[in-house]
Formats: sequence, C-alpha cells, structure tokens
Amino acid sequence: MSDRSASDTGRAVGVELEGLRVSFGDSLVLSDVDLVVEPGSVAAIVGPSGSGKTTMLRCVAGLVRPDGGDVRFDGRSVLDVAVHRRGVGYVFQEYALFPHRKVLANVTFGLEMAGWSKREGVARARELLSLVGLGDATGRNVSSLSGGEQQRVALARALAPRPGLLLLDEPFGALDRLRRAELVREVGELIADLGVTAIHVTHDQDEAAALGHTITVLEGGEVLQTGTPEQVATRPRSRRVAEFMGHQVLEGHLDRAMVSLTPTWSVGPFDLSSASSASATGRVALVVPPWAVRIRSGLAESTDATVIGQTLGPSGHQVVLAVGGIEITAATGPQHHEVGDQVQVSILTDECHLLS
Amino acid sequence: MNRLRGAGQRGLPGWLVAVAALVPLVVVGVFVVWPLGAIVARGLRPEGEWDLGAIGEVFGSRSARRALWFSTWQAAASTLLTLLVALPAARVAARYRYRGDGLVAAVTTVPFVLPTVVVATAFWSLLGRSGPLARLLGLVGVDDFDGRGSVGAVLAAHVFFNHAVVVRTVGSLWRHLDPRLDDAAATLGADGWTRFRLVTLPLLGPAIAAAGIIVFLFCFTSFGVVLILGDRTHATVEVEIFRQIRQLDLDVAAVLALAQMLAAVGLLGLWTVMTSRLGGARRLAADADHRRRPVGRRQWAEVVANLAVMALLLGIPMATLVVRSLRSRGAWSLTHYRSLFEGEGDRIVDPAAAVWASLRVASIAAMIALVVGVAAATALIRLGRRWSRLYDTAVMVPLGASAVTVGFGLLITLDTPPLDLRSSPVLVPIAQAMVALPFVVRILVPVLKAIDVRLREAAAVLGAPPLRVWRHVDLPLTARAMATATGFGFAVSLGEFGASSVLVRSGEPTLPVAIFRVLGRPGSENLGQAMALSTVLLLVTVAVLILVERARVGPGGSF
Repeated sequence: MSDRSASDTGRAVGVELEGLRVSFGDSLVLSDVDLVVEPGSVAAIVGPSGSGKTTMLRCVAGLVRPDGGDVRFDGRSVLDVAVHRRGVGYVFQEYALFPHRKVLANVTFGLEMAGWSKREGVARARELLSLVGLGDATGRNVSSLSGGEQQRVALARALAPRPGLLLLDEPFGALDRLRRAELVREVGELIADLGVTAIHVTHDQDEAAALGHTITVLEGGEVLQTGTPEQVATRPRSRRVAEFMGHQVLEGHLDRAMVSLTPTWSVGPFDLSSASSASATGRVALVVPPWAVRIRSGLAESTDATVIGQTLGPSGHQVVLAVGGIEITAATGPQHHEVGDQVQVSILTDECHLLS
Repeated sequence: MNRLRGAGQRGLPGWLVAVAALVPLVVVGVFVVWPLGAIVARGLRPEGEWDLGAIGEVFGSRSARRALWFSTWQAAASTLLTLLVALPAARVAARYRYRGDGLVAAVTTVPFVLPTVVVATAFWSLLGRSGPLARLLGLVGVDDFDGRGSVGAVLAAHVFFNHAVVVRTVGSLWRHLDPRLDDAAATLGADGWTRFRLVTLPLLGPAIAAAGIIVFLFCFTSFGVVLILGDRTHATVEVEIFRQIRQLDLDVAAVLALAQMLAAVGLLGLWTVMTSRLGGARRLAADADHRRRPVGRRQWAEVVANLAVMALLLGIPMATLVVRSLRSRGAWSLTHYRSLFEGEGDRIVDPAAAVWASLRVASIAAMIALVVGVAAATALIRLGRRWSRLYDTAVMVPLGASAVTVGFGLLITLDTPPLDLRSSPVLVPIAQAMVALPFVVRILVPVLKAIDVRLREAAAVLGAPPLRVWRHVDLPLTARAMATATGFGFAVSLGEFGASSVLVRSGEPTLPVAIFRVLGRPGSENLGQAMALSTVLLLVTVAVLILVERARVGPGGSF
C-alpha cells in the first residue's frame, strides 16, 4: 500500500492548524488561524465569501503552501508532504468529476493511484456508490448526472481510498434548497457511519450547524469564534459573529445595569455577569432575536411603535417596527398586523444577549 | 502566483516546459527563418557586401511594384467579397438549428482544406471555353467566353477558399452571443437593421476583423490559384518570387520575400490582438448555444436561400471538376482514369506513385507538425499575456512566409552536413509540416486552455504525482483535439503546393505538383487527366476530412 499520511488504516485523523498565514501578493488571505479538529469529529468553517475558508481547506490538502504556521495530522507536520501523499479526501465545489471517465472509473481513480488491483478497486467503488445511493449509475457518463448525483459521485470518489480526513468545500452550494436539505442529512449520516474526520466549509450557517460538532467563524482571514453550534449561536462573542449567524443586533446604551435602545426606551436590567467583558456604562450591542420582541400593551417598559413592513423569517411571519428612530424586527405569531398599525412593544430581556 | 499551487500540483516540471517552448522556436527558426534569411542574404549581398541599394532598385522595378500592388488590391477585393458572401452564411450557422446542420458545417469546411491546385483546376474547367459557364452564356448570346486568366477567376477562387474561415470564425462567436441583448434592444424600440448595426456588429467586431485579416493574408500570399488561373500579367508577390528565382534574379526575390514577411508579421500581430479579444468572450461549452429552429416562412427562406448559395458557390466548381474528369471526347467515360494507370511511355506522371508519395509525405509531415504543435501549445498556455502573443505570432510565421522562398532557401541552406538534407526524404515533409504547424497550434490551444485546473487538483489529491496527472487528465482530454489536429495537418500537407513545387524531385512528385505538371501540357486529353488526378486528390482530402469531423467534439479552434 502507499505511504499516504492520513489513510494508512482508514483511521480517523486529528488535524491541527497553528498560526496559519497565507498571503497572495499584497493581500493577507489567512492571518494567524488556529484550529483543532478531534479525530472523528466534524468541524464546520463558516464565513462570507472571501473570508479565506477555501484557502484554509486547500492548505490542509496541500494545494496551497502557507507562508507561515503549521498543519499537523495526528501531531506530525505535513507541510513538506506533497498533495498526492497526504491521503486526504477532497470534495470540490462543483465537484471536478473527470468528464472523460464514467462514474465507476471516477470512483476507482484514487484506488488506481494507490495500487489496488482492478478487481478489488471495482468492488470497493461499487460498494461506495451503493452507499451513496448510486449503485445503478456505474456505467453512466458524468455529464448525464444531475447536480445531486454528481455530488454523490464526488463524495464516493473522495471516500473510496479510505482517507482518514475528508475535506468538503461548499459541497451543497450548487444545489437547490430541497435537495440540499436532503443531502446534508445523508452526508451527515454517512460521515458518522464511516467515523472519518471531516472539515466542512460553507457560507450557510444552517448547514454548518446541521453537520458540525464545532463551528469556526472566519471573516477576513481571521478566526472570530470557535465553539459548538449552540455556543456560537446563542453566545456570539462579537457583533460580527452575531450578524453573520443571522442575528438581529441593535445598538444600545448601558447605564448602571439598565440597557436602553433609544433615549426614551429603557428595555430593562441585564445580568452583566454573563456578558463578555462588559463595563458598567457605555455603548453596547444587544442581540435581540425576533421572538424576544413582544407586541402587547400593558407590559412594563413597553413603548409605542408603528408597523412599517412585513417579512418572512425562518420561524414564520415577522413585522418590522419603527420605534423611536430605530427599526426592529418582531415575530408576530398568530396575530396579524397591517402596515401603519400603532402597537405597544416590549422586549423579553431574558432572551437577549449582551455584547460589549 | 506560485503560492496558489502546492507541492505536486504545479503540473509539468519547469525544465520540461522550457524545452517545450524552445523546440518550436528552434524548428521554425532553422526551417523557415534561416532559409528565408539565406535567400535575402544572397539577394542583397551578391558579392559579400550588403547592397541595400538593391532594395530601392527593386521597388523601382515595374514588375515588383506591379506584384505588390496586385497582391494588395486583389486581396482586399477578395476579402470584401468573401465577407459579403460569407457573413449571411455565418448568420444562418449561428442562429438556426435544423436537421443536417452538422453535415452542412462539415461540408462548408471542405473548400478551405482543398489543395489550391484542385481548386484552381476546378475553376479552370468551370470558367474555360468549353466549360458550363461558357455554355450558359452562349445560350444568351455571349460567345467565346473564356474566364481563365481573368482577375474575376482569381477572386472567385479566393472566395471559394476563404468562405469557411469567415463562417467558422464569425459564426462560432455569433452563436454564443446572448440573444437577450437583441431582445432588449427590440423592447427599447430598435428595428432589425438598427439592432444589427448597434448591437450585433460591435460585438462581432473582433471576430470579423480577425477573419478578415486572415483572409487578407491568405489572398495576399496566394500562389497556386494565381499561377494557374491568372495570366502572365497577373502576379502576386509569391508568384513573382517564383518567376524571379527561376530566372535566378535573386535580389528581386529577396526584397519581395522580405516585404511579404514584414507585411505578414504585421498582419499576424494584429490578428493575435483580435483573437485575444475573442478569447474572453468565448467559452468552449456547448451549453451557451443559442440556436433555434427556424420559425415561419421568412426564417426558413433565409436558411434555404443560404443553402442554395452555398451549393452554388461551393458545390458547382467541385461538381464541374468531377464531371469533366468523366467526359472524354464528348461522351461519358473512364478513359482519363484508366489512362492514369496504364501506358508508360506518354505518361508524364505515374499517378499511383504520386498518390503513394503524397500519402507518405503527408503522414510524416502531420506527425512532425503534431509533435512540434503540442510542444508549442503546451508552452503557449503557460506564458503571460504579452509573451504569449509574441510566441503566438512566432509560431504563426510560416503562414506568412513565402513558401516558395522557404523552399528555395532550404535548398541552399541545408547543403552542409550534418544538415545536408537536400536529398533526404524528410525535407519535403519538414517544409509541409511548417505550413501545417499554425493550424495544429490553433486547434490545440483552446482545448488545452479549457482544461479545468481543478481536475488536475482532484487527481493530485487522489494520489497522482505530476506526470500521472498529465497522463490521466491532460492527455485523455486533449486526445480528440490531437487527432483532429493531426488530421487537419495531414489534409493541409496533402494539398501543399508552394514549397513542394520547389523541393519535390522530378521523379517523385506529390499529387499537387503532378497535377500542375499535367496541366502545363496542352491538349484536352491532358486536361482530362489533370481533372482525373484532381478528383482523386479531392476524394482523398474529403475522406480525411470526414474522419476528422467525426473525431471533433464541439466548437474548437479558430477555424
């Protein structure tokens, strides 16, 4: 067998990135990136386009040589190990399937390179294609496959040589919403069954949360926060992370443990012990989920608001309210409001999260 | 941007690419530039001293000035005529999809690859005193029509040849133009002609310019057509060079060859600028194909009219050739064909030997052109923008070099060992390979460029070291283009006349040279034989082209 770093026994590999730095010309694409991925776990990397996530993945695969820092598999640096010896499985954005080879021959490619006998290679390839639900497609041309089918072939191809590490570069990006949800689920199950370590790069925080044991938020080449999906979603450490995760973040003013969002609207006291390095007074940012904004009169600390618009959010109908000069989005639940309605609004501060 | 590629992904090692870049330059340098230089030196340095005054003398000479003027104006007229005739055809090829359109596309390309001698012979019989056109005109009272030797014949033959260049170059860009631009203009109130003028034409500009430049270059350097169809007073620069060298007037030949080379380099430089503008707009994917089935009477009429014109323009000359070869003394017969194969005494050429020689020589030439072409294409796609344009022009130089001069030049340069190739069987193939080289490169480059770099990366990640990446990704994806390029090179070599007419030894002519010789003898039986030989060459070329078309996959290259 080959001496490929990560796939000797198909055992899940632990990955460590330390101080990774990459620059192209004058621009710094990755700056001091640290990451630890436990063997057998799935690390999701999220960030907007241009945040450097694909570059990071390519560093792990060996397609890019970093300008600084280290990449380690199971504690051993692989910086000087050539791409074709790293033993990593890589699913490319838009799949990069070989157009001149049929489905089966695409999947056997890695096995051919590793010196498998034709018989064993074909058997293994068929096994994987069945695993991804394409057992009947072995003789088909790549061009005749749908997007979802191509994605599965790409997955089978990457997994066939039993890599210890699987790298996924926005694998669901080119699919429509319905297929995406389906595939996210299936891929998650597959990875769990095979017990392979995986790093999944995506710009979609829902996918990241669905597949990843940990989420790392990357922006402008820097790691903003790493944690479990729950941690990052409910306790974002900075405004940028909160906004990236899709939260509503409002500017407020903190004065002796009381937060006010506008000069006239004091929303209530906050338990400062849970906030990250908040000082007693000053400007703050408040993460206010739409369901924390209540439209009801008669509550303490409610104030007047006007409905100025309606939207559809992940949890149902929402309205946009104008309150003392700011706009705030609220989930309405079963009530219906027209644009122009005057309402009373208050905030459930327990559901909110204070950022410094 | 080395950082973008990690270890093992850079592709071929640097030294290999450098060698790949040098080989074509060396080959073109030794077998085109050096012989040219030798003739120029002989001409301008008759006693070992540079006599640059000769340049002035030559340009003062009437025959030289006439040749330059004739080359220029007939090339301009031919280009204009070709554009006029071929642009409507390009439009049909770009907009409509109908049953048999693939066949039409294939047939349209045939004239371009036909040997000049065959075409000239066909027009000779078409326009001659006993040809169909004369007979047609005789019916309306025009007697004694003989179109041979007229400029019209030359122009007609040029349009016949270069029609395909315009249709393919312009048609393929047109096909990929987004029809929604036209729709947008329509909703904004522009009528058909205005839309063509203000939307389509500007977008097609680079393609029309590129095609026009190439057609001009081909017509400017035209040899076989003018030699056979023109009369003694008509001479392009190439024909004049031929005559001058025959008379051993090397100084005139030298200056003319230089002038032609300079003009060609200038035109080719312009052409590479135009095609680089095309490159961005064009994607190889067939998914950008915007053709639709013709709808309604007007559109069908357009298609049918276009097919009719093409059948007329392209089909009739060829048909005349074949028909004429089958008629002897007023009756249908196979005499001419039979006479090719029997009778030794009165035979000027041994046709079987000529066919065999042609095939043998063309095979070797195609192989050489392929190897050198692959090297050139491999290097070309890895050069930065400015260098690649320079390199491209250098590789295209044979297109503009006077084939006749190169032929003579080869004879006088390759006379000392280890390069004494004068009597080597590899000399003619090398000369022909040089002529075929530009076509091979043009076919290979777009295909090589279009290989998605991620396929190479995918292969590398799956465990393939650099050379195996080339073997498993680059090679299979370009195999088809290489087959096409070889076939095309073969067809071009088969029909090559300029250099061959000089280099071929009298005992072993290639088919084009053989045909020329037979044509040179008066008598209608000889003419019939020439027709028969031409038909044979035509059939062989068409057969090669059909094989090439089968191997082609989608639109590729500039032709």
